[in-house]
Amino acid sequence: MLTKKIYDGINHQWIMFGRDPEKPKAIIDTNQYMVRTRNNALLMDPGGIELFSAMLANVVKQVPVQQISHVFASHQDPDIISSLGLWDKALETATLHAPWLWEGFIRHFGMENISFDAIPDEGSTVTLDSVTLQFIPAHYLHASGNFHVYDPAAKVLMSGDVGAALEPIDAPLFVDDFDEHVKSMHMFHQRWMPSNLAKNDWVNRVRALDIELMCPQHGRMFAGDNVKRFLDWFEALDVGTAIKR
Amino acid sequence: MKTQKGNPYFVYAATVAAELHKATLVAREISLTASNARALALRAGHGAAGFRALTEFIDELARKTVAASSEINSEAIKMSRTASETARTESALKRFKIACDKASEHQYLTSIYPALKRTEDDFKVLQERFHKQVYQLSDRLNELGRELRTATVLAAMSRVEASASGKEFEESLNVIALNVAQAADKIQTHVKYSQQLFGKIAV
Ligand SMILES: [Fe+2]
Ligand SMILES: [Fe+2]
Repeated sequence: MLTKKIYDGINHQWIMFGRDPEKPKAIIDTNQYMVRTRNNALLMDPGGIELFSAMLANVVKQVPVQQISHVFASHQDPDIISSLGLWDKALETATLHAPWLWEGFIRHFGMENISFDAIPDEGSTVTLDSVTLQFIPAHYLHASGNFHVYDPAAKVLMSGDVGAALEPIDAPLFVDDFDEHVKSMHMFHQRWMPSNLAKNDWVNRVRALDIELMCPQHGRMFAGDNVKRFLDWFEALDVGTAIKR
Repeated sequence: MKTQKGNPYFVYAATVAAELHKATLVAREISLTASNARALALRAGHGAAGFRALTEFIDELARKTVAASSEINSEAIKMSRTASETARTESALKRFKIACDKASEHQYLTSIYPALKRTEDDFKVLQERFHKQVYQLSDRLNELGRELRTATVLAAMSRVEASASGKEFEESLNVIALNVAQAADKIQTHVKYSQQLFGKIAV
C-alpha cells in the first residue's frame, strides 16, 4: 500500500494511504487519510475489513497505534468503516466521530472499546493537540447523514465520496488533466449523488472555504485550481439520474 | 479451529441449537399426551386402574423431557454464540498477524503487540469456553438420551394395560401409548443428530 505525505506543517501532517496492489480485485479502491499531531492522530474513513491488515501495517510506519486517539467515518458505507470491529480491538481508547444518524447502523460493525461521538447535523469540530479540524455537513452526498473534514490551517478538505473517480489501481495520485479526469467522475457523481439541492447547498458552503487540496475517498486528489474546476463542474452537473424525469 | 470436514464449527453449533429447539417442541407433545392419558384413564374407571398408574410416569417423563430439552436448547444457543464470537476473534487474530508480517520493517511495529496479545488471549479464553460448553452439552444430551429410553418401556407397558382396560377404551389408550413412543422417537432422532454434529466439532 502506498503512503504519501500530502501536507507537512509545523504542528501537524496529513498522510494519504491507498493504491494497495494486494487488494482483492473485486473491491473498490479507497483512499484513507490520517492527520498526525504531536501526541495524537485522526484516522479518516479507515476503510473496509479487507484492507485492515495493510492499513494497520502502514499506520505503524507513521505512528504507534496507541497514538490514534480519533477515528472519523464520513458515513456508514462498508468501504468507509466496515473495519471498525477490527480497529476496535487495536485501539483501546479512541473516539469515533460519525454522523449521529448512523450510530445504530455503524455499531453493527462491532464497537466495544471505542466510544462514539455523534456529530450533529450542523457539524462540529475536533481538536488534536493545538490543531482544530472541522466536520463540514455534506448530507445526501451520497449518504443522508454525511460529513467532510476541513483543516483551515492546512487548507485541506477531505471530501469523502465527493470528487471520487472510478479508476485503475495504478492511477496517479493527483488530477493532472481535469477535462480528461471528468470521464472517470461523471457516472459516479450522477448515479451515487441523489440530490441537486443537496449538491448545490454543499457547493455554496465549500466555496466559502479556502482550499488548496481536496481529497476524495476514491480516485485522485485535486490541487490548486483543480479544486475550483471541480466545484464549477459539480455545480453544473445534473445528479440523481436513475430516476427518469 | 476447524471441524473435521473443514466446515465452520459455528455453523454446526447453530445447527445443534436448532435441532434442540425442535426437540423442545416435541417434548411439549408428550406433555399434552400425558394430560389426555390422565383424563381418559379417569373416564375408563376401574378397568383402567393399571393404566392410570402409568399416566403418572408418562407425566413425569413429559416434565423431565420438556425441562431438559429446553435447558439444553438454551445452553446450545449460548454455545452457538460463543462459537460465532470465537470465529470473529480468530479472524481478527489472523488479520493482526498479517499486519505484523507486512509491518516487519516499520518503525512502530511493536506498538501492535499489545493488541495482538489481547486478541490472542481473548481467542484462548473463547476457545476454552467453547470446548467446555461442547462437553457439557454432549453430557446432557447423553443423559436425555438415556431418559428417553424409559419412554419405550412406558409405551410397551401402556399397550398391555390398554388391552386390560376393556373394549371401549382400549383403542384410545393404545393411541396414547403410540403417541408417547413416537414423540420419544422423534426426540431421540434430534438428540442423535446433535450428537453426530458434536462429533464433527474437532476438539
Ligand atoms: Fe459511500
Ligand atoms: Fe466510498
